[in-house]
Amino acid sequence: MSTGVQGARGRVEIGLVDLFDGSEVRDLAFMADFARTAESAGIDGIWLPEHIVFFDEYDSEYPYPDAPSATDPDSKAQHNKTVGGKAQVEVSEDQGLLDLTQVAVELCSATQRLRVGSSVLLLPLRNPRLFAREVATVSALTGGRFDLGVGVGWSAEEFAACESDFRTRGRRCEQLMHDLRAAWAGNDPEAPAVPQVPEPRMLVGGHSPAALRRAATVATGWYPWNLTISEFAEHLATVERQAAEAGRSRDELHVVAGFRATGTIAELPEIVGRYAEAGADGVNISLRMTPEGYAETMHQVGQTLGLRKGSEQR
Amino acid sequence: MEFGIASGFETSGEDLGSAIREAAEAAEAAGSASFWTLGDREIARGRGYDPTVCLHRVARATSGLRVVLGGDATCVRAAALRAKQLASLDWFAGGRLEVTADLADAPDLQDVPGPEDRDLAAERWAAMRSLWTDRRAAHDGSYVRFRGAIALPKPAGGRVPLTHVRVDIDAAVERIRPMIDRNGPPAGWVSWGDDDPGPAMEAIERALGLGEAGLRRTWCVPSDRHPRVRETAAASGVDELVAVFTTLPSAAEVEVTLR
Repeated sequence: MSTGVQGARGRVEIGLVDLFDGSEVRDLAFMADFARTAESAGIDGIWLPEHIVFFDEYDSEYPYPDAPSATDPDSKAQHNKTVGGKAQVEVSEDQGLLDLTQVAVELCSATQRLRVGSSVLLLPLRNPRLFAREVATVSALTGGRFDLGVGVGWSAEEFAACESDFRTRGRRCEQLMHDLRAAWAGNDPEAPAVPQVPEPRMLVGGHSPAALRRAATVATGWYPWNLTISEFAEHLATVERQAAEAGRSRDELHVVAGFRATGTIAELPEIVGRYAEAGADGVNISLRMTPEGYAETMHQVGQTLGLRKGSEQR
Repeated sequence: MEFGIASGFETSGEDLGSAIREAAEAAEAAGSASFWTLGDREIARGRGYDPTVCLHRVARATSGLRVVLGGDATCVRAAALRAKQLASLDWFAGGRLEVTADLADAPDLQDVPGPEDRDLAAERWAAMRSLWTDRRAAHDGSYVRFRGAIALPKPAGGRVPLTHVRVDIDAAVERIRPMIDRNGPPAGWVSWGDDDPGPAMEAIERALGLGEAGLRRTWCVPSDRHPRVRETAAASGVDELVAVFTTLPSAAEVEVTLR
């Protein structure tokens, strides 16, 4: 008997979104324990958010303040605070984040099977002539367990601090996706040669028309955030149609639905199962776990979603 | 005089992580003071893996030796992004990271034509210093501008990682002067190549008015020449002689070279 969540396209990969900030409490030992606990609970992947810098105040509006309701995932409830009518990103004061690719390598070095993904990496900030090599290196050091979720970001303040034009970030993101795939395939004679490794999954975050088109025609996956089930199904149909028009099969795309969990763990099977039935290949859950409670939470998630066989349960 | 090793991150087919661990552990066991990556310019010419990510694995496989980026091409990376990567690497290394600034142009590594202004590198280093040390970082320059930036984690101890500067570049004095004007003298000079670097380092120090004492000198030479240039290096006031391997060395190769 198979374990885990079964969906319209077979077994669904379950990921948890969490962060490693370089604080004393989330030290190296914590990182290893966190990753091993996830693996032992049957979690398929840990997904890492990215910001290069934070600010106390933003003029930019956070675009995903509404999460699907735990009890009715066809409706949404706002959970982020607003300032001056603008939704704010959900972070603590003096928030930090360690460099994403180094964390990915660290977590995979502590585990055997666990995948690590970016949720999502700010691709327009990268220099493709360096970043193609960086991702190939992560892929080699993780045994191909790294998934590259990419996005265009929402904070104009952060882009300015990173010397990157915010207005043209979408166009730049798409060009970078082409550049990376060409570099990994060895098809870019202008760029420095990079190590030849199996190409990692590249999933486009977001659900704007441009994001859907990029996911369908350039990337190898789609990773929307905080959509209701009906929104997810509607946008997935668009991605599938555009992929077919581009001569690509649905099996070339890995689709992960991500959401900020607002209810109890007991309520997870409903929303996860509905994403799965709607065609998700993976479901990523942000639980905002504490250092004290993460192990218990992970095992509850594993048990509730049936991620391990009975004999393997804790 | 201390001895160190530098290596490109290429293997002869074995698992990359295992090969890095073997070389790093061997270096530490053989008494190497440091483990250096190749510079960005050298890496761009080959198929090697990324130096920053690989140096993370070196740091995690060792506990005492210094881990050093051998030639960070400042003109091809935004300051805030690089500050984050280096602060994180230092965090993973427990405060053992050192960085070598390469102030030369790097056309092979630029995805778009960069500004020609030689002050760009100096400005980016100044911006990184603020991000590494200030609770709310600020920089208002020609290319880099931010205010109230929260950049965490900081490098271990809230310090600026020790910074070397490569001198084996064209117009070295003209390129290094703005860096020193904005950021003060570096911790030391680094030269990659066959030639005794002492005279060039002395000339640069004189031109920049850095006084008699001089800065730390590091000479990176091909590993097969390492045993033969030790006397020359000592006579030139070299503080650290680094044996350069183009691919990850075996434990035996490290041991023989540093013997």
